[in-house]
Amino acid sequence: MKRIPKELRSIIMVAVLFVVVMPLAPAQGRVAGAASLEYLKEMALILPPVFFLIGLLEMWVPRSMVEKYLGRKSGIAGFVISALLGSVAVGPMYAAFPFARTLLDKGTSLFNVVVFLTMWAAGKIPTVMMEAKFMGVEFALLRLGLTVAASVVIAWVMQRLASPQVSAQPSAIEDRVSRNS
Amino acid sequence: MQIVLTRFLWIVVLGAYVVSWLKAPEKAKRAARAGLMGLAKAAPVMLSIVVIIGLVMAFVPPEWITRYLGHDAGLWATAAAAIFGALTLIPCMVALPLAASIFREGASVATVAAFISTLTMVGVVTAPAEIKYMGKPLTIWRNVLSFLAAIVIAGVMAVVLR
Repeated sequence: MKRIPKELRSIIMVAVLFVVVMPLAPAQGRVAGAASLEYLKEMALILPPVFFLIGLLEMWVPRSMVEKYLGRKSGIAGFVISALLGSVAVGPMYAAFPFARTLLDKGTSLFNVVVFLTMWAAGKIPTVMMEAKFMGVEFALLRLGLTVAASVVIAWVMQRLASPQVSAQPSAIEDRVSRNS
Repeated sequence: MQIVLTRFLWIVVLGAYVVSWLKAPEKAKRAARAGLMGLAKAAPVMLSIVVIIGLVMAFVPPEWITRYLGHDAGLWATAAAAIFGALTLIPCMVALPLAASIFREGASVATVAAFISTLTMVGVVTAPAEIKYMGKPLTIWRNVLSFLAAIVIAGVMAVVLR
């Protein structure tokens, strides 16, 4: 395993899994293939703009500004901005993680990043509107309210318990060495 | 809906690049290069997620939620819905009509709320991407806490909307 680059290991593992499953369960294999293709299309549309946007943010948004509005001392305003950033977002959850990493690297507090992720996941405005249509306005708004509350609790616990573990990951787009600017 | 939003995102990003190019072409070029590099680095983990989602959709199909959770209104149904939501990744366009249909067939508010909450907040199949960008400890913390929060949300909603 040592020779194979770490990045490629997971994809090789799932590819092997897929090849094993196909002959054992051909019907499910076909469904799996079709579903994967659907998601691949979705990803191909959403990930390029996401990463190009991150590239722009890295170039144009100064760290001092992010620290001021979203950093540890940003207070209620920082919380509100993070929650809104998450809830106006477009795209599925996997697109949120590179954004979250960039926010962390630029000086956003872990609390605000977790609020951002939670709101992106469960408090997106288009989704809530659709939910109101299917489950009723009362249901959708109550769940949104509880999600905001939950984001505060989850973020607070993580800020307290997991803060020391923030640093170790490489940046979303560049290598650490070239990122000190 | 998703397509419209995605198009909107493309237009916004393209517009931002035009502005960036006009103000400082060199910076725009570097931003594009960085974006491309990020995309290339994300490809392996994102592709493995695509394959995992395909397998999950095939072996734990979304129809199960209607088949198994539509009639039962008990606590076990709520627990099963929470676990099902955590394990799968169903787009909202499919998940919300599903949720509405099990609700009509007799599933409780708690069951529907638990399903929607864990489906959105907890991501087992997207964990490889989360680990890549956020690291293992943060990923585990966030998912475990989100699962617990989803259960509490379901409970509160069941009491309020009774």
